[in-house]
Amino acid sequence: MKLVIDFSFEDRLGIPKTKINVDDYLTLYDGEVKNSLTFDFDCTAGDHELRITHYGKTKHQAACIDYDKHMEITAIIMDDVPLEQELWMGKFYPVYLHPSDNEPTYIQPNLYLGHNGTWVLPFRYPCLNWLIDLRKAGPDIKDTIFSTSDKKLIQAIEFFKGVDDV
Amino acid sequence: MSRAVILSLPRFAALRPQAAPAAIKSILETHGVSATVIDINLAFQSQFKQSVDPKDYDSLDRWMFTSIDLTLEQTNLLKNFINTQVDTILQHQPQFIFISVFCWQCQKSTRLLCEYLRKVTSAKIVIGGQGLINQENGSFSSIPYFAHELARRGLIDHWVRGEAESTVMNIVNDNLPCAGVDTDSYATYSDVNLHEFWDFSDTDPRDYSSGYTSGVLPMETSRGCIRRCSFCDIPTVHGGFRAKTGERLSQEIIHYYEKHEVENYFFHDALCNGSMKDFRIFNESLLEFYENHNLPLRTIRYSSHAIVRSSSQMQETDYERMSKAGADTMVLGVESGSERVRGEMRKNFSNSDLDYTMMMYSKYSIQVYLLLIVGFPNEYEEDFQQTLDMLSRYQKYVADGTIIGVNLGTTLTVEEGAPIYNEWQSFGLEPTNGANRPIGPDWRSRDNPSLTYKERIMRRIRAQEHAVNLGYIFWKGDDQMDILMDKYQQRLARLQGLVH
Repeated sequence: MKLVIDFSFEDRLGIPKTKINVDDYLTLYDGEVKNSLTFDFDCTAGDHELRITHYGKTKHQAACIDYDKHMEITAIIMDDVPLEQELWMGKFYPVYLHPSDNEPTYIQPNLYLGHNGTWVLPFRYPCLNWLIDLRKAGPDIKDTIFSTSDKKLIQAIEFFKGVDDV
Repeated sequence: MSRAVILSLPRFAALRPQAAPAAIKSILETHGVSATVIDINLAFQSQFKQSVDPKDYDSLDRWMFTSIDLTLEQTNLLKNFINTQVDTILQHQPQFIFISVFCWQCQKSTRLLCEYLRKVTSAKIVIGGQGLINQENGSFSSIPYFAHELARRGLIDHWVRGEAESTVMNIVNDNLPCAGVDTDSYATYSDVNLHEFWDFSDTDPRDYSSGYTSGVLPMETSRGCIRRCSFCDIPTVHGGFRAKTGERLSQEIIHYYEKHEVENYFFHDALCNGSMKDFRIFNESLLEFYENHNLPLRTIRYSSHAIVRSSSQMQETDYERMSKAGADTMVLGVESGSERVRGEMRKNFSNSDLDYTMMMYSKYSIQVYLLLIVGFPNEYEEDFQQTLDMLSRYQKYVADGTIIGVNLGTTLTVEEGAPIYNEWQSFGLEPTNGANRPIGPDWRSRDNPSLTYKERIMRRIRAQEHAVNLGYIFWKGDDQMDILMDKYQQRLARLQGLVH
């Protein structure tokens, strides 16, 4: 799977650190964030989670009012296709340095990782099929003169399987 | 009272008003003959469909293009529908009834309506259109068999072979004989830049299932084609490439936009980018119109067939400008993923040209509809695999919304008028099933003998399975499977001596 993640970030208090995982076990990157990170890795078919963690921000940095040390996801491209609305499916689970009772467990929609914490995007591989299913682009031709159905295809397969080659 | 009525008959997709009736109405009225367009095809697919049991409608619909039998009840439903349409036609007390036979799937309804009309009116019945021939995938036949059949049975007075512009008024004025009227030869080719603008005043584009709020109107940019693809008979039918100038085309589309307030147009001819010079002028004229009228980019949107061109012929700026002008969906005859196969098809573009084209359409948010042909004579298994691989490679364009459809047709048939028909020996073809020469699906390749008709169909099925699994929106699959099964069944029956 080809994965490109683009970031913008504030580095005047130091470059933010990030760890990028797929599910629990595959770490794609761990270190200072960059404007663009590209990965090519094997991915099994099925459901997965892309996890982008912002870490290393200190209480002192969090208290700074002139600059907010942060990173922001500006683009994610999966197998050459940029995510669009799907980006807003990601949930950011902050680790609050100054916890209070009414902070939300997660923030969504959100691509701005100001707090330490992990942004989690569920996806399915092959991701092109996942995106096609989600987007349902193009006209709806069901029940029109143009339609195509599995039922008719199966009927045709059965029909031609048994006939002589003439 | 109209001196003429112009009819569209089932069965073809009722996506927008049909071009030919609007063109004929315009010709007639320009010459002082009042005319009314009645879209019976639309009535069949809308009011009639909603008024009957879905199963009955499905049978009646399939009856139009297969050999299935109708029940007595279904036959009565059809008769009632035809009677209603005849009543509507007679209300106009026409002296001429022009019937546009859009394709072979309109033949049954045409035959039936003519039988009814003959009994109740003395109006002259004139038929024309691509459906005058029996070829199912082609546009050309040296003999318009269907027209001959109806004439022989006394069901029509005249047929038009080719263009309305050079024939219709000769019929009305009884200025006969005339090339293209009741002849096997074609009418004189007209100058497309002298055509009247079409008259859509009898139809409301919003009544059609176009998927666009303000509906879609048909237009044409040209007749003929600049290419000579070996499977295609278009140049034989339409002669040399004749394109409207860019200025004329933009004037016409703006005229329709201002008159009908329709924002979407479909160019139904073979290609909009045959003349790059005129195509550029057309796009620039639209952009100028938007600027002068303070309208946003893409106010008018057009969809069209287009050819794949190299990056030197069609540069990035061309894609950018056409996108801003309003290019919506381009129908591309890609045909095969194999360069070798496309070479023999004389398609004249490489895989890198195609990759570039797809990348540009994606970059400038212009949608694409792919046409493919399975089972060309020199398509070996590895070539077919390249077609499947191409579909896999372009899946990303389905995901990003560029590709909005794929159509695989009903496998390669040899059509009269196409180079592969005329030069069949040089393509290494042999006739099968007792045919004198390769025709339709009755051919075999000497060099590729395992590519039997059944094998071609099986590949066609595999390609559909593959495309559907990849998430492509697959168009007309059910129709095409019905046609393939029906024709194959007839073929088996014929070989077994059941049908003669």
